[in-house]
Amino acid sequence: MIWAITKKEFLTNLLTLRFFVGLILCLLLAVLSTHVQIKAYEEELLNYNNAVQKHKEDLAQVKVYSQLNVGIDRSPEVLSILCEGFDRKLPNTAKVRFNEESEIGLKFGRNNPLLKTFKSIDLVLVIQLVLSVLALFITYDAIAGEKQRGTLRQMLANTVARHQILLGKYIGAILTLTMPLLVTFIIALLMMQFSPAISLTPGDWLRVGSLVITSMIYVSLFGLVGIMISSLTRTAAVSLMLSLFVWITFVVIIPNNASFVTKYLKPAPSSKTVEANKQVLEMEQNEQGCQFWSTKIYPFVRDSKIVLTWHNDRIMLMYLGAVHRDVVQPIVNNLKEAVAWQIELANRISNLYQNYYNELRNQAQLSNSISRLSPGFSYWMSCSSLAGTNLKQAMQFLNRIRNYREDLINYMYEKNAFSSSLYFTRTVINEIHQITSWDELNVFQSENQPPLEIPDLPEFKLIRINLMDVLAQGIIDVGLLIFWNILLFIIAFVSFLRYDAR
Amino acid sequence: MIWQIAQQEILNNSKSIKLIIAFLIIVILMLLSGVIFTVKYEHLVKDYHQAVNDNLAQLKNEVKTLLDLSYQQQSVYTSPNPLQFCTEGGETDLPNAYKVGYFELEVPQNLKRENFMFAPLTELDWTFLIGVFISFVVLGLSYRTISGEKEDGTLRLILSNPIPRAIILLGKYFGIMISILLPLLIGIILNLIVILTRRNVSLEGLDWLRILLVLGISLFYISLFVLLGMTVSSMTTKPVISLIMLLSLWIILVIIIPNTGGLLASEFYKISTRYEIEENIKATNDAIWNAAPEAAYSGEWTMNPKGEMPLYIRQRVKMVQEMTAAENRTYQHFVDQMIHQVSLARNITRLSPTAIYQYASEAIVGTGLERFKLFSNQVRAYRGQFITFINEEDQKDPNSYHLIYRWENLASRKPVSFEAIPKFSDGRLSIRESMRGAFLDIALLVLLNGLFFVMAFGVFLRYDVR
Repeated sequence: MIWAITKKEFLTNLLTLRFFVGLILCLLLAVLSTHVQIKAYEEELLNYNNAVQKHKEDLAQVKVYSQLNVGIDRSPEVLSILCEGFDRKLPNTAKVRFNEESEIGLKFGRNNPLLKTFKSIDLVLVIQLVLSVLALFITYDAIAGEKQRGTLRQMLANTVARHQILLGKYIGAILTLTMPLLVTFIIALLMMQFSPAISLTPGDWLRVGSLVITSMIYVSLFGLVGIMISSLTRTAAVSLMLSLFVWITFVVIIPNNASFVTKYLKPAPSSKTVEANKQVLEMEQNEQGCQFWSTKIYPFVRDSKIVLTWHNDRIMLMYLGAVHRDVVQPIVNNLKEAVAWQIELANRISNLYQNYYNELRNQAQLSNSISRLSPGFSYWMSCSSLAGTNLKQAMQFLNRIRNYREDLINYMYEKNAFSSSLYFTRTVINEIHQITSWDELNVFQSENQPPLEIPDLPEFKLIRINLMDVLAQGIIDVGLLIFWNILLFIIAFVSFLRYDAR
Repeated sequence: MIWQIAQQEILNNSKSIKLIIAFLIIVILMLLSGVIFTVKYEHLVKDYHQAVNDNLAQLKNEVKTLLDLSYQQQSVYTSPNPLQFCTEGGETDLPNAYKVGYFELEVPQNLKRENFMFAPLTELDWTFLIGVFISFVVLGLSYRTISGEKEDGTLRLILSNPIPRAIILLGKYFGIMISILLPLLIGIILNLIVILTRRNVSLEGLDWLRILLVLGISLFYISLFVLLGMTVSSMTTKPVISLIMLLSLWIILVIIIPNTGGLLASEFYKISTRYEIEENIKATNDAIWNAAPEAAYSGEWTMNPKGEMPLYIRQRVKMVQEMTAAENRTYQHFVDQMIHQVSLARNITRLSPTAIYQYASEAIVGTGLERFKLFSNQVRAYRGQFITFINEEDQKDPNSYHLIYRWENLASRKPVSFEAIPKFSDGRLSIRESMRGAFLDIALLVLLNGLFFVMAFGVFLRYDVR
């Protein structure tokens, strides 16, 4: 019996105007949003590859260890095409020296701040807004409409149990809605396959599958809202109105205003304070570098034991042209202390930023918890977790910069960078005579030395998508959606049992 | 007759559950918006004053001579607009500060308390409430006007009397307008009460005029949706179908079109990335360096016994000034590109009345893109003023070499008093100029109203009322 009702619902739904309109709308939006997202992703990928290339070329220019400034980058996440999340909003490039983390930013991203008022549309947003309304359109007259048409009492006059009717209608609605859902996903995936830059691993396909399942749970939720409200009202029109009020409240208004409330009732720490503190520490670093130079290196320059080419006080960047054999050891002994002090200051600056990011993240997470009242927001959170673009995953790059710097420091210690002349020169000689011409000086210029050999330089590998982690992060919100489904079904069931069918 | 029909419409609506729910939601949101706004505004004003004072303190303490002044980089800010509760205009995301000095004018920055980890959200201002929520409610109130009456059988009863169709249309139009305006006005008054009782927002006379103008535009906007609802209602025989059509239209016009503008604009008109800008500047500098005579960048600073400067110094100054000018041109070009891209995005979205309404409100209130353009122009003008001041003071000093450029300290070392230095002051557009900026959008709204009215009338005339 349930199956008969399901079939009937499914077939009638397919023939209605609303389904047709909804399907066309979904198709168009899927095409539009995926197209734009694919273009954006391809550009990001191109930028990433260019950046990696440039950073490699930069490394080939390094002549001494003090110049070692490694550029690290994060590649864009391929499933950000389906759910953009934070992937293109958080920094994706940085430069790391043993005593400095610099140029952290979105060097290549979409960068017109005036455009931020326009939201970007991705497939998940389309499903969040359009498919939920379509679900309501299809189920709002499930009970109330039948009552108005008079067919409800005819059904119940026979030996059809109420729960069979309810289940039949529910499953019929789900089947109807599965069609636009699958169509949108298939179109999006086809478009992604056609793009040469995009290739999906089996892990990616698994996550796509979980996205589809989550979307079905979400759509089913709104189907149940429609059925529930339908079994609480007597006319289809009132049912539709109420359903739409529920929709606009829970999908448009609540998520917006929860963030709004948290953002302003508990304002974020100001980036200016962090910048100011950073400047104080940097000045200390500067002073320390200056002192090191003037007391520990310059005396040798003055005594003509060093042919100077260039140096930079603040960040211990030193390239000395040629160094007399006798002074190598004294310089190296002084270096060790200075290096330790510089690393400590750099750690403190790094901690400043870590704390700042953590405070920001706490505020954002508080807001997210409040917004979880809205199923639309829950859905978006679970999708961004599964797509690998939620806040935690986008922030991994920021967290790993410090780790990479520590790897770099260990590497430099291993290679005795701080305890050999290779930190600051390539030429150790026995006699330094008066340099009288540019040609003589040119011999010692840094550009004319061969590149430093840096085998086994630690590579920056950011493994962001650990399948188990990703699924675990998404599970809370998916669980919440399932909970809503069950709750709504129970309410619908109970109210239908008490429904006056005459 | 019009008034009687209107009265009936109003009474029917006030008994319906949808208006009651809508009223509740409006009141809650307006109160919430008022509270949040006062808290937010307090922080904005405090941060602004602190930033401005920090800048002035730095100016006072670090600048003793004209030479210092020429090297000084000031941060100038735009003050927060108290009318943001009307139309926020994306102010949280817009840049609000420039670094400006004699030699440079950099790319603008956003120095507000920004948490970039928040999911993107739309601020809860009047424009959002009216633009998104009220338009939705209005469609819910107006979808039954014609087709509902036909279904109930009362439409043929009315028209069997000698009542012209236009009168019926007008009556219903006014009825629906008044039904929605009453809850809206109550909400707005509550919102204003909350804001004014907190006492940290000061509104002057002209601000009230702007608020009134925004309310006027809102009237036009709401009227547009009433007419749309009535038009679609007289296109179908069953009210449910008209509701579905209206809601699809609403999603497209109000939610989808205003947001695709950004995507499409960045597709069609690409602006340089920050990386490209830096490369550009480097390349230009290299080109100028190579084109300059070698004397410009070599050679020591020595004067001949007569106390005259060697020729090369002028060439050097010329070269560096060229480089500085080129750099500023690149930054300015970037800001112009940014503005152009956003204007393109706006033009694309002007298909949607919600977008038109948003832009008109922004222009009147003085937030959003128009405010940013004004700020940029003010900063450029200020820089011109600043440069003129330094040049004139420098001319007055007979000991100065009158060569002011980045690489060497050749400007006058005359002390300069803090009070004499021109300071940046932020100003708002006058009402007349704001209206000029909003003119296109207001005209569009009025035009669309006329168009929709004609459409509603035309469709209803041919409606089969049996």
